Amino acid sequence: MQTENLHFQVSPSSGEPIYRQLIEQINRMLASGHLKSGDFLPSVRQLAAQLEVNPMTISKAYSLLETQGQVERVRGRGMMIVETSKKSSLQERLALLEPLLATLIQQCQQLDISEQQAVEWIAENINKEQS
Amino acid sequence: MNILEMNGVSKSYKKNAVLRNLNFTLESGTVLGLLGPNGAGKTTLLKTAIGLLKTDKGEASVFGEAAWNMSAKAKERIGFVAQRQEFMLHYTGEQLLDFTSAFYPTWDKNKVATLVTDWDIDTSKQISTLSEGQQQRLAIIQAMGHSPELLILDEPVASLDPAARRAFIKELIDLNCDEQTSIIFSTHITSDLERAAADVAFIREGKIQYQGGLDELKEQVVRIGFTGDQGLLSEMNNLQISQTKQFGERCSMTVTNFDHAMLLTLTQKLGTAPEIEQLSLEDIYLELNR
Repeated sequence: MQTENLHFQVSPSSGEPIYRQLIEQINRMLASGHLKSGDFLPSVRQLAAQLEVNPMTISKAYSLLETQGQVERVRGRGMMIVETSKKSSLQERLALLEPLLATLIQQCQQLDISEQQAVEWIAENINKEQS
Repeated sequence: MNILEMNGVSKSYKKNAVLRNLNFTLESGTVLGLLGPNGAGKTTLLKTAIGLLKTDKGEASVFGEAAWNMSAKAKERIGFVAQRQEFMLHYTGEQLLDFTSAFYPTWDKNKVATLVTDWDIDTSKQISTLSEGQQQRLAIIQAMGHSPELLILDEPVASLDPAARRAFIKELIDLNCDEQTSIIFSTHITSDLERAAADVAFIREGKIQYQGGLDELKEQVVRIGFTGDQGLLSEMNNLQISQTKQFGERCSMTVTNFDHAMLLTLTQKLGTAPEIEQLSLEDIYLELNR
């Protein structure tokens, strides 16, 4: 039920439209289980004020998620994550990281960083983050 | 519903044609950013649209009334902030706002007081002693006091610092959200527009070059990168290519009508999937203006 801790972040000057950035973030939160069925998304107003963007942009993202069947409009309460949204399999979650992976591999090659060096470095940083 | 319409409008100053057979509409409740180089006709468009200037040819209407002969009732529904302020500089801010309020039965004293506090303006000071940015903010408050349904701002943020610009953009968003105010603001700073506006219009040499959703624009104008010769794609007849750069094996092509459904055809033509790079509004703007 708690949605106030959700951290959204958009970059308005990116080439990717803001509403797409939002949809992708929500999809990641669903995949990871940070958003579960029965949870509510922040209200359009709230999120527009927080991110300082046009509320129509937020509405657009929410409407698309509704069309795709991930959220449901509950009268007087806002947008609720629907029953069927479950935490995705590892495979599916990794697929969401593919664009980042392509960049990482390319830059590792440019910087002459080996597979082992890259893997160790990632593991080290993930451990640091979690401790 | 369109609250503002311009059909085939032309306007010249002496021999200098500024608007050339221009068409433009604004749907109720939208925030639109008007973008164009200096001298493209932004100010003339805004002034003609609300009858501050008379068209030479064509029609301009607001709330369904001819802009040039607008009724007093219709005028009360509009707020306008000019690019350069022509205040009575010896007035204090307070005197100016009092004076203005007398013209409008719907003047909202509380809202004005809140804005004055929020934007940190000393209204007891003579206007001539305020900084340019503060004068600008005062002009904006003066235009918003009667809660207009249509707010037109000519380069409203040009003289504000980044923090004040951000606060102002936030104010525009709130106004649109709370009161469904329709807003047009002209600017040449694309980043201001990306937060606030849902729609954009590009004006160039007195004509509207593009008008539509900012999101749609960002989705349609992309750079396609691939290894191979430009000839692989340049023949595709449903691809609108605005620019091609070939560096040896690498080709980079800017396309203005991209659609994800094209990816399959592109991949077939190239033998491998191309890289699709999305562009910022600034890049798009420069791309369309070449």
